[in-house]
Amino acid sequence: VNRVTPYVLGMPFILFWLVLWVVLISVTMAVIYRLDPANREESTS
Amino acid sequence: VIALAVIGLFLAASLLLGLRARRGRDMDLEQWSVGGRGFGTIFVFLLLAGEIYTTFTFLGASGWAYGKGAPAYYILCYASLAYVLSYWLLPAVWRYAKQHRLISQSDFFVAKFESPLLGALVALVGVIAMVPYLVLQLKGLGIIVSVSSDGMIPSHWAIVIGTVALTVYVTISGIHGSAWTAVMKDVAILAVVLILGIYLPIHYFGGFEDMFQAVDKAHPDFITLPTSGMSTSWFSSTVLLSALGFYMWPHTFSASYSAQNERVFRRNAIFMPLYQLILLFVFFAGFAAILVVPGLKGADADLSLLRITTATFPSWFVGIVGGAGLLTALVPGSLLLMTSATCLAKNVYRLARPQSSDQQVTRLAQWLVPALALLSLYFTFNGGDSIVSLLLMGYALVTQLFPALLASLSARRFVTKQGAAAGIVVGVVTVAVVTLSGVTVGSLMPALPQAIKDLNVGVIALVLNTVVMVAVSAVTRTAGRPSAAPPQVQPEATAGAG
Repeated sequence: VNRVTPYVLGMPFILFWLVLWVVLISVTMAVIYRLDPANREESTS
Repeated sequence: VIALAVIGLFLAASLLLGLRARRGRDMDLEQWSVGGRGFGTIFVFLLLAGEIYTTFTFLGASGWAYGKGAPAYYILCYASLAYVLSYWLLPAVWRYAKQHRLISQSDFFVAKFESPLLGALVALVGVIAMVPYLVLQLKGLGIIVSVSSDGMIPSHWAIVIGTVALTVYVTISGIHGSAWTAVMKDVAILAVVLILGIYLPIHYFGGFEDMFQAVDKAHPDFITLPTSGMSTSWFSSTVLLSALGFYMWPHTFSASYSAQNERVFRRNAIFMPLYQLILLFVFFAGFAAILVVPGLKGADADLSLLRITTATFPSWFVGIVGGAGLLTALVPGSLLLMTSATCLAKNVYRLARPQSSDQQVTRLAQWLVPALALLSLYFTFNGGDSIVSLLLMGYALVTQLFPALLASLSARRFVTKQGAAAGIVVGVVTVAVVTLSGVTVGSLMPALPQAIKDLNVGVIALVLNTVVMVAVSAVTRTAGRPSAAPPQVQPEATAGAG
């Protein structure tokens, strides 16, 4: 992963790779938030 | 001169906001430092996210991209991991803090381990770690004002003026001032960073890819991690260490007390990582500066963002950049000052004089603000480290609190107060020795493979810390009878009640 090519979205590959994971983390957290029973109660909690 | 006027306007506006935020509120210590626990998603988001967008991000991240290249990427990564952690960590912390009406981070340790002495220790470690962080903000402040005023205001004076402004509004408004200035700061910094990060590469190189190719050609291997030194194993260990330390900062820890309910944190864990991506544009600006304003060495790399700005834009825009930069120093600076003062007054002074009244403690906390500001001023004028090095040292220190915190959250208490204290002391001493003597893992044990040699030294301190904590806990648990079970409600019990 630690390399320059190929460029993705104008970024060297390593930078793109890290950015990709940051976005994936956000997506994962959104999914967890949806599934987590602790958030199920009505919104006034 | 125009640039200066614009910066002055920013300063005046932030002061005004900070002072207005106080109106109509009775300032006891709980209001002053945790906003009466009434902040919703957006305020908490801004307070916690505001922690990331400090002068460190602004000057440090671009400075590292400029001076060191790829290792700067770590800044993008660690906070995202920290947010994942926060999803589970912060609700537990917040719940306990609310039940026990805690105000500072040390209070948490006092309550969990039933040991005011441990609390005082935590307070001291926190304050010691916060001083380099505060110094870093002041240093940045000085750089920003002096560079964007074309040297008309020497950085010494800029630092003094900024510190005075900071002190005034922290003393008067406490966290309410910080929250409102944080709003203004984030809007300003987002705009500025996006403009710089997009405009500069396109203006000078024609596009992002063209820019990276140009940098790669001029400095081969600069935009990937080196094979030794700041290698992939340095990168991973630093990311991990910083992620663990992220919420151990006393000001971040206690800023989380200000939330209205625990879902605030869970929701924020989704959006905070995306907010991190703004950092990309800071890197872009730093990389652009490599070829446009070459030749800045060592700690001067922190100047790169501002140098390229003054070289590219008209004076009024330089003023806006400077003003935004000023806010990035003031907001975190104010939280840092306030938290250190609260910790010292509540967890150290109270311990020495238990009979002092709440009012006296609040008053003392407010008086400690200028005293601490003076102390940091002193260090700012007498040190030469670059911004990121200062931050890494602070992180290595606060991370030492993590094992004890984690242990305190588990339902079965294995770790004793002696164990926690011993672990923290060993960890902090290790960091101090290593930082002062400048050794690395490699210089201690030259025979090891390169990947291990490059580990961040904070990791070693953390391992020693944990080992000592567990060992001492095992001994003190069997030696003395464990003290009576603390009157705590298990977190699980309250979770369902919501």
